[in-house]
Amino acid sequence: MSNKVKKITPIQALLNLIVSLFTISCVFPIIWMTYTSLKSGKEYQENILSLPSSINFENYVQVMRNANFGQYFYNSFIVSLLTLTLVLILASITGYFLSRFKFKGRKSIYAFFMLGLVVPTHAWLLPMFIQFNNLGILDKRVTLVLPYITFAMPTAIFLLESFIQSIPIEMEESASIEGCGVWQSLWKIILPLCKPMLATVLILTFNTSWNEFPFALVLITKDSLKTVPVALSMFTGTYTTNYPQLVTALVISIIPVVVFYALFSKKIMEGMVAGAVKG
Amino acid sequence: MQRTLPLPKKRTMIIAFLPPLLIFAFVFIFPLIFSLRYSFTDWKGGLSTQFIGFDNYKELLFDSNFWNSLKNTVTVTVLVVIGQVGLGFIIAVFLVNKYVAWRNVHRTLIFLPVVLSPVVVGLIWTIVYNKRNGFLNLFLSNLGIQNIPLWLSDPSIVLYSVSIPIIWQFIGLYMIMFLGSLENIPKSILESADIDGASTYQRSIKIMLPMIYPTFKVAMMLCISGTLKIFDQIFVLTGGGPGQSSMTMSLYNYRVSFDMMRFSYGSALSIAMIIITLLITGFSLRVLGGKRYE
Amino acid sequence: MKMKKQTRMGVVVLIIMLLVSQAAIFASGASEQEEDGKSISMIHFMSPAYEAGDANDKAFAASMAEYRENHPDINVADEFVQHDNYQVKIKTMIASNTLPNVYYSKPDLFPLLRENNMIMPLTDMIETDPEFKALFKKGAFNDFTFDGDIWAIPFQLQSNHVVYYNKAMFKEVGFNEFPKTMSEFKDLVSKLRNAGYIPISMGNKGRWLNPSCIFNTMVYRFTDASWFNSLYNDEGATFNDKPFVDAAKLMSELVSLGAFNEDMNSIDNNQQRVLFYNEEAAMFIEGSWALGPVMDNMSEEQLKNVGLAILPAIDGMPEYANIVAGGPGWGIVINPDMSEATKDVVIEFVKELYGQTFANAAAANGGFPAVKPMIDEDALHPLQVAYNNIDFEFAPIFDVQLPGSIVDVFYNDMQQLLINEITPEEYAQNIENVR
Repeated sequence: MSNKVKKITPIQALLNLIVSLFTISCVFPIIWMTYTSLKSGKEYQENILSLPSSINFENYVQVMRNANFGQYFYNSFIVSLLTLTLVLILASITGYFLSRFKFKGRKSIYAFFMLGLVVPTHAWLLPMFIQFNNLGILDKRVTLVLPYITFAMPTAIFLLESFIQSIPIEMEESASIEGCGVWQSLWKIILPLCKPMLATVLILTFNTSWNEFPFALVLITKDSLKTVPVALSMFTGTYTTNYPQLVTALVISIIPVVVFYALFSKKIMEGMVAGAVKG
Repeated sequence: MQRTLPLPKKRTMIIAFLPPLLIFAFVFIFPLIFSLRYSFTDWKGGLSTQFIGFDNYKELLFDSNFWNSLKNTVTVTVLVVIGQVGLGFIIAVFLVNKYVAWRNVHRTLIFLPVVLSPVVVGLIWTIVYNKRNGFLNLFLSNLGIQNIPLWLSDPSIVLYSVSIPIIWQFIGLYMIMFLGSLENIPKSILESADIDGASTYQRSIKIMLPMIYPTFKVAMMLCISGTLKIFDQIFVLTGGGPGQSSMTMSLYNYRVSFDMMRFSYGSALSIAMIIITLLITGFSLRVLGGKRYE
Repeated sequence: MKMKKQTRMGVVVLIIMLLVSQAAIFASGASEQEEDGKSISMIHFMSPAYEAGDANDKAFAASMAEYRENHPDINVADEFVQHDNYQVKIKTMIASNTLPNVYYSKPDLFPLLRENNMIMPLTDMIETDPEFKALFKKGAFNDFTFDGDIWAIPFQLQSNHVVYYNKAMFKEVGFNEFPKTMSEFKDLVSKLRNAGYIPISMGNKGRWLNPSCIFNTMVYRFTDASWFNSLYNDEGATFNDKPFVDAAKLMSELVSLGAFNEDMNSIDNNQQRVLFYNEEAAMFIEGSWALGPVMDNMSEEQLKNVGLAILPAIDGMPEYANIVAGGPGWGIVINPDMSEATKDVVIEFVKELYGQTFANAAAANGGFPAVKPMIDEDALHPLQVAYNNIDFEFAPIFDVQLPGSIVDVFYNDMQQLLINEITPEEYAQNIENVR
């Protein structure tokens, strides 16, 4: 492409405007939540959109005093990190094997994993509760990890498998001739190239397990094992909800996800921009 | 047929596939058998059940609420697929255009809604659609537009109104996928198009599309299967209302199981839902030319 | 050949899956609770987030703390599940027979619970302790009495229907007091609409508000509890009966008079109150639980203009004027599946938890407990006094008594009636169809 600096045409200006507006809409929720958490219930009712008249951390004080947030955060972290680790390991291996080897039953295995994409979550609640109850594995640290892995895996496998397809096979072929094993190829050649996709999977998986509600509601009874989304529901009253307080709790709950994203978004974007894989 | 590597030892294959298959079997198969079994009974949640054959499925055939929910689900899915994949692609194309400033900032921030929980998205969009001081109505009335519709109360538009937040939330995901493959198109190809004087529009359609087709297919499949079971966002926004006008299959299933407490009929609905979803995704895969695994 | 190998692989996978799932089906060994009468399990929806809570939440916290202090040797394992999610959890527990010792239920689930022996008659517990029985307000047990037995302990007794109105706006359109008849009420509605106000703000997004708090009582303007009891017990009454259809017609008429805000199906009950607080709406109709939030969110100056009433009588039918849908709603029930020793402890626990301490704390926070509270009447806010002065006659709340399959249509189709998607006759017929 030529490097001549051209004057900005109306179309280019329009392009910039559209993209900028869309970007603003994507950031706005977080900005709105942040300033709403500083408002009082009365201010919120008078105008949902207005800025707070004064900076007031009363809601934070009340939310932190009410809820055992430290415990819930810890529980959510353990569950999310366990899920994340297992999904990354299992999905990259599965994705790699499915995309690189042709063997009997591959189609069946692939289809079996894809079944996970079509299962309606709420239909699985009751049967899974009964199953877990019979096995005595309700109310354990790992209880939530099993369904979370299962529901995160199909997307992860799907994304990684198709990404690996797009990576040229030559390097592995020559590595294989030189006696490099399957696991080594996966570890040394494929995974480094997969970084942007792995980062995407990482964020998606962390996000779904951090925010997951129905299974956390049904499968966990002990307060000491409850996760953040279930804890958040205590801020919705039976007949009345104090919205600024609810929003405050929501703000606190999304901090880890946003931090996590901030840490890994660079990886995603870097990988994309570098164009690690040449077609 | 694409190229493959020589097959590793059987033991290696078992090590690779057994753990995930076991976990999947554990979490999927029992609930599936369970639902299948109870779909042939009159179970309402108690200890006693009676086998009633195909009665639940017969009822389902004549259940106008179910067919309505299927129709709504398909409508929402079509809208969302067009919105998410289409707009995701368009924004990705915008963002490889060097006339767009702060491209990296846009990329990072547009992905942000993907990490928000459905509760947050529902709350935000309830405010957007609010009749009195919502953004949308403020904006439109400032433009001098009268007769602004009731976004979430008018049955004739509610399906569109509930689709937009879903689209908005996940555009970032598809944008990232498309950006990845667009960046992989060799610069030389794009440059030659430039020399030929092809306009941006033609360039993106004629050259980019075929080259990113594999990504496009993955995006389509993820989007279709994800939207067919959509629940959370609509639950928060309208709960399926007014009446049944934004009721999707997942929502209807939930209502039947947990509001009406008809678990057996809910089980039959689950089975029907899985079959329908499989049929639709399978059909889409066929249309998209996904015969890679033959 | 190819086909064969593929099939074999498939068979192997299938066998593994079956093995795993069978293990899941047959394996058991859920850890049993120690049955020594020292531990009580309970599930409830009383939010532990004290400042976010309402009167009942606060009363529960106070009462529970007192019990724990008095009985340090007994371990109460209580699980909180937010009200809206409670039904998912409790229904999962019913279906898998894993209910705790003590839980909350509405009468709509009683038939199923009784059929499966998951609920215990509490008649003995109440009759053998006259002191405990005497604590309760008159009629507190009515909604929980079936086949001569009491099945639940009420913790609240409240009207599902209270009209909260703005006296200043009423005066502005020439009404110095709340209308006495329905024709006056309709006149008032039209005048308020013409004056630019929303006559009644309604937030029916959750589907229950109109049917439960407005329409139910509207039906009781045309008939009394005997009609509902006949319907409930299958003794001849149907939803197609004149009172029900007439009430549906009245609802439609109010809609066409512009009585409600246009976005009634997309705002919730919190937002309907906001319209009233902000003086955009002249009235809103909700249960007595909204009194607390009204007092919390409006200034003393504004509160002087707030009046409380109930829907007026239909012209020529003054005999039904005081009937409202109301009662305890939820009750505390006990699961009989436990040892005798535990049973004694549990009964004592329930008595202490929902006795005087709970009632006093609830009343002090603006609640309406089922037990007569012992608090200083002078300490009450004028609005609480006004509430106590309303001459309520409670009749069964439809959606608390009827099974979920009927309630679902009762709720859902009301949204359609409100936007003229169906006629009043169709509304009645649709509900009758699922009865």
